[in-house]
Amino acid sequence: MTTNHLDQRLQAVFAKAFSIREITDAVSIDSVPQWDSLGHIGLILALEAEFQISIAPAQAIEMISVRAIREILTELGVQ
Amino acid sequence: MAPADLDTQTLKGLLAEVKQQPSYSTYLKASRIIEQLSVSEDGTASLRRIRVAVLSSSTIDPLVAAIQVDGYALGLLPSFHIAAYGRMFEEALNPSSGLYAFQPQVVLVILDLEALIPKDDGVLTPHQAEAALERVHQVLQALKQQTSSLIVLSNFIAHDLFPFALVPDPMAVAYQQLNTTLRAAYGQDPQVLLLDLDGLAAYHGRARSIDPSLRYLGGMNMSESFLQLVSRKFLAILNALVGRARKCLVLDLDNTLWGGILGEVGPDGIHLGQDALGKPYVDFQRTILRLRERGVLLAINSKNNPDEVLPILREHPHMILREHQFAGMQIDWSPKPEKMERLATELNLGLDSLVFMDDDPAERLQMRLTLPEVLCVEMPSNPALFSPTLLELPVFETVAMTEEDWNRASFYAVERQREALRQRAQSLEEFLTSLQLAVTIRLNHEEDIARAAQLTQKTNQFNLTTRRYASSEIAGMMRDPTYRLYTLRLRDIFGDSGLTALAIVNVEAEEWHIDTFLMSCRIIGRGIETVLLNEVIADATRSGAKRLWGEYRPTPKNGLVKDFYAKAGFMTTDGGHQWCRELEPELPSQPPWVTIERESQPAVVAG
Repeated sequence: MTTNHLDQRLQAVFAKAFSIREITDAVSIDSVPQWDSLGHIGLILALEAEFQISIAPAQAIEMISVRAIREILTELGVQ
Repeated sequence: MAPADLDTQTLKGLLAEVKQQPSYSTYLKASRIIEQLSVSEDGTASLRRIRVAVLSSSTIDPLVAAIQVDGYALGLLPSFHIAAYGRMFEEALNPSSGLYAFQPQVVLVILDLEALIPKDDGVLTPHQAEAALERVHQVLQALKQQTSSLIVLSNFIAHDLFPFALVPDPMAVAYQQLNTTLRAAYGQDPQVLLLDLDGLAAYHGRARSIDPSLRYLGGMNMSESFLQLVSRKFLAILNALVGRARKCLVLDLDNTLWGGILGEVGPDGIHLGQDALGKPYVDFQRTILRLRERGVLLAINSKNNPDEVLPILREHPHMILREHQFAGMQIDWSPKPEKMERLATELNLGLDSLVFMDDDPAERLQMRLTLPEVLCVEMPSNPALFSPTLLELPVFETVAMTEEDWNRASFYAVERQREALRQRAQSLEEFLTSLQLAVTIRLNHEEDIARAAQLTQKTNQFNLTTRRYASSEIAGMMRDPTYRLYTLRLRDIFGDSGLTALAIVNVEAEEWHIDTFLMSCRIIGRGIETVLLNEVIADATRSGAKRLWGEYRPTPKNGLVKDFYAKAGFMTTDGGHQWCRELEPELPSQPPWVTIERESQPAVVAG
């Protein structure tokens, strides 16, 4: 149930940042054309806003796939 | 649906989203669509294009995206050349760089202090501040040598101060000195406009104006919320430059200037005074009055009985705005768009010079649908927010405040007295004689640069060619011996109308060409245009020219002057655009009711 909720919120973030409706763990910086360096900044800002968290540069640099984002969000205590 | 239409649809949605909840992602997506649209003329033909180069020492793309998107909503379509990080110095200093090949009309320079001082070198010292300024001077000097475009130079935002410091923080002092020095060096430079980014950050909250993580992740020195403010400030400049500054604020009365409906609650029942219910309206009126002092005209558009309204305007103890401060008043029961058109005619202004503030959303909607050129401000329902809303409206700004701006608001009140005199006078000539008109015509006068540029940017109706020039371009023409710039100021028994007419003439041995001929609408009807044209004709004749050429470039607004050259004895060579007058030895005579003084001072402009 909680995982589903997280999925929905992630979905909303990706819709906002890249207009992507369906996300899987495999979606990454290599599979989305708009996910370039500027797009990445937008994504990080959208994640911070959606989950009310502060993302450190080291974490932001690693957040280049849905799988990695999910892992770091868990580290940050997002449920 | 064609792909362009599809993009326009998507863009509409994104623009609505930006308005509701602006975020960097939305700005980025919308700006990418605008970029695609701007490649073709379809859908962007009505937008004003303008080339902007950006020199920045940090990541500036998010700001550029915001400017593009907010600009689109204002009817502007800037295209950008960006030189960021280390490329900034190289592009500014190298005359054959991409920056100069781009031929920018505006160059925006946004500098962060840390990019200008040696890396890893302890904290900011006065010596380092001096070295940083030296680099700014270098960049500015190169820009001024290589281009005549307007340079918008930001000052430094004082970041990283101790907010609770009780003993003065030397870094805070250093920032203050840097910004003071910048103002001293460039505040008077006609080619440079200082952008007070530090003041804007103070307004927004310094701590909120930078995003600590993004600063390190993206080299971005503006937070998501702050870049929207910077974008609006910069757009105010572009808006003024392309001649779109609005000139008149038109106000509703009930529930706008005071609380309650006058016709229902009577003069003693309206909310206006020092209590919680009345004070917001008093403060809103104060802000309006300050706008008037900055040269914005005020007018009333209200459904009311004038007999009930006038006593309030004249006698209500808590009214800040009084009758004589309104340049026009339309108070009756006719539809508001009709009243708006009457106001525009009365004040000699285009509808696109007007801004409308009315608390009633239905009235605003009707205005928008009937007269889309009028800017209708979205008013919050809480009157406590009226004044802040007006303070943040960037559409009245002009690039330089001139003496005429400060005086314009009182001008219209005086104009009513002139009108009274006109009605008393028997004939037009008698009226004009009784005004004791006196003009001063100056040739290439350096003091007139700012006002002359502003006249080219703001004059729409009595303007033969509607060519817009920046101060720097005007200064350039004054230095150029093949141009003559005539400025005209007008005085009469009621006062000084200031510098209100301009002619720019391109001079060749036998043929003179009038590049620009314009006059402020405030002084129409006194034969002043003839005085200025005769002056040009006389000078051309005396210098041995054979022909004087005039040009009429039609716009939606300058129909008024379509026959100007025909009436002045010019013949058209191509059906009304190019006009020519053969010059004869006999000079035209000036109207007898005008006294003419002449001043000439060759422009000496540094640089």
